Amino acid sequence: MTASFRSEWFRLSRRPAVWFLCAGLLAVLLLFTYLLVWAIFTNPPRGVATAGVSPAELKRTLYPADWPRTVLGDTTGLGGAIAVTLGVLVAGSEYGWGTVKTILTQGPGRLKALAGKALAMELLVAILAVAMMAVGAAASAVLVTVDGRTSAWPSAAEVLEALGAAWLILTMYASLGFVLAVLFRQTGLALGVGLVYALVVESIVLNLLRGADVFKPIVSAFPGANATGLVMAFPSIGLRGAAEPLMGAAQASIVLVAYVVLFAAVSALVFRVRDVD
Amino acid sequence: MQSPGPVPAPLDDRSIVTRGLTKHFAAIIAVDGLDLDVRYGEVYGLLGPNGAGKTTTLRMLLGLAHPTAGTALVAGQPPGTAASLAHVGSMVETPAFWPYLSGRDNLRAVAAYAGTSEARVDESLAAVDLSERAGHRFSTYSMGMKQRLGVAAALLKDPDVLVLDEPSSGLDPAGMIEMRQLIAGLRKERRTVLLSSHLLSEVEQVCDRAGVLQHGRLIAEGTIAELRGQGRLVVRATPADRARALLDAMLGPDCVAAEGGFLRLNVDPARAGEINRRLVLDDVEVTELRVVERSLEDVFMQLTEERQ
Repeated sequence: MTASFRSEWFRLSRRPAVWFLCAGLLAVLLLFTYLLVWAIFTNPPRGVATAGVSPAELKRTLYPADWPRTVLGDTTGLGGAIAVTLGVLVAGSEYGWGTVKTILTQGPGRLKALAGKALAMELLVAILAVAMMAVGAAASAVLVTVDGRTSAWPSAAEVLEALGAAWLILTMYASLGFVLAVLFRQTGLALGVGLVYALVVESIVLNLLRGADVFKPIVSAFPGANATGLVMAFPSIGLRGAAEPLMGAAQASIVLVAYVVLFAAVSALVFRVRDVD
Repeated sequence: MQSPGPVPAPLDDRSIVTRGLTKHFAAIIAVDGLDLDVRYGEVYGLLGPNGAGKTTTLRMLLGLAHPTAGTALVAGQPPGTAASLAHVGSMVETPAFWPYLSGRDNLRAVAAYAGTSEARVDESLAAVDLSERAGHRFSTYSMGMKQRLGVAAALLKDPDVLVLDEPSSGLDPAGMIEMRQLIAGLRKERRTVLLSSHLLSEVEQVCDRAGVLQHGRLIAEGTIAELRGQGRLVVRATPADRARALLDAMLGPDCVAAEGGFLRLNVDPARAGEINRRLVLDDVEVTELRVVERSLEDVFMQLTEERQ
């Protein structure tokens, strides 16, 4: 498996598309989550709705105390969609290029080859999670200084927990893209299905359904709802009084890990038994 | 780093063996009970029309497709296992590589999977005369260069057995000649080469033996000379009608056919002297009498048309 991982990472680290995607997510985090929101709260447009909370209070989400929670907010939604795309690219492009046969005829064994690929994807996701936290920390430090305010930094334990949560959430979405690519043996359909699921089903349909008590048990079984639940488990000064999460951090983490294991198992089973074109 | 073990000691002189190898795709029988024996150090050609089952056979021998029934051994091991693939280099259908990497980096990635040393990368590139363009991205390569990189990847493991699917596909005439020279070189090095090809002239020139597949079954097999069979005699004689009557009487009408001013005789060429003497004794002027070798193309067309 080491040889498979080395080859996989050698290729992945030289692939421009994955770094463009990661850079895109970091740019969204910096420009939209921090700078645009800061600009709006600094000069609030007339009639902007803030649900009774003052813009100055909401700006505290951009300061260091809220930094882990604010960054985590970007790992679902668009972050999830980008992680799905990464997973699809890692596994699905091989089918388009026909390189699955190039890999397997070298003799690594199907499961070892797949495990090497999944590990390389995990490393990429971990780098992305660290980069997101770093960009968030830098942006929050700059903005609190520009505003002339003070804000306590979260504890190292909280930062590590947030980093782990970001990695787990991005891993879940990337694994979803990975398994879809293995199932469909291509990028196009896998990307379409994955993005529709992440952006439409999870972000819109299930968010609407979670408002009704009768649907809450169903919604809380979905991976996106648990990702959101894990994000909401982190404290936020700026978002005090926001909606209660559907589940606790421990339950959300367990469900997300279960989904990652499920996606990996399905990928392995299908990849092992199927003929390679 | 994984390194190939010693070559499995051959129990006999066969490098690739299949028995009853069968592959179904739903109701379609792609390969049907194939018994194949490829000997160590020979170049064996698989011939057949499109859809005959050549590529499916090669894919099963590489572990890319699971057989529906039957058994196979490649380099003494079950196909697709690490023990087998450690001794097998291959190129199936079009050469497939990562387009954003250079030729050299592609081979480095492949070498990492195969557990071979990076020193082999430059040796393999040199063997296919691709060293100068090795630093360029694969996506900028011509078809011929891609094909050569595919062969370089197949040579990376310094394999005992090479499985090549249409190795000259997409190459220009000069590239085809180079490919044939390369295969001839592999034969000199006593490597086993199993290749499929549509190019009958290629098989004729580079293969020691060939098998003809039709509807997934091996319908003929042998050395190229055996497949061609004996040559035929062609006679041009005057008067033609008298010559035809004499030969019909002598050889039987089934063995004589008129063809563009010639008479084609389906008999042992060793009878040429006897035929010449008979015609001359009966006052027929023989202006031409020669042996015509059957080409592999003739054999192929005859075999595949007979089975349609």
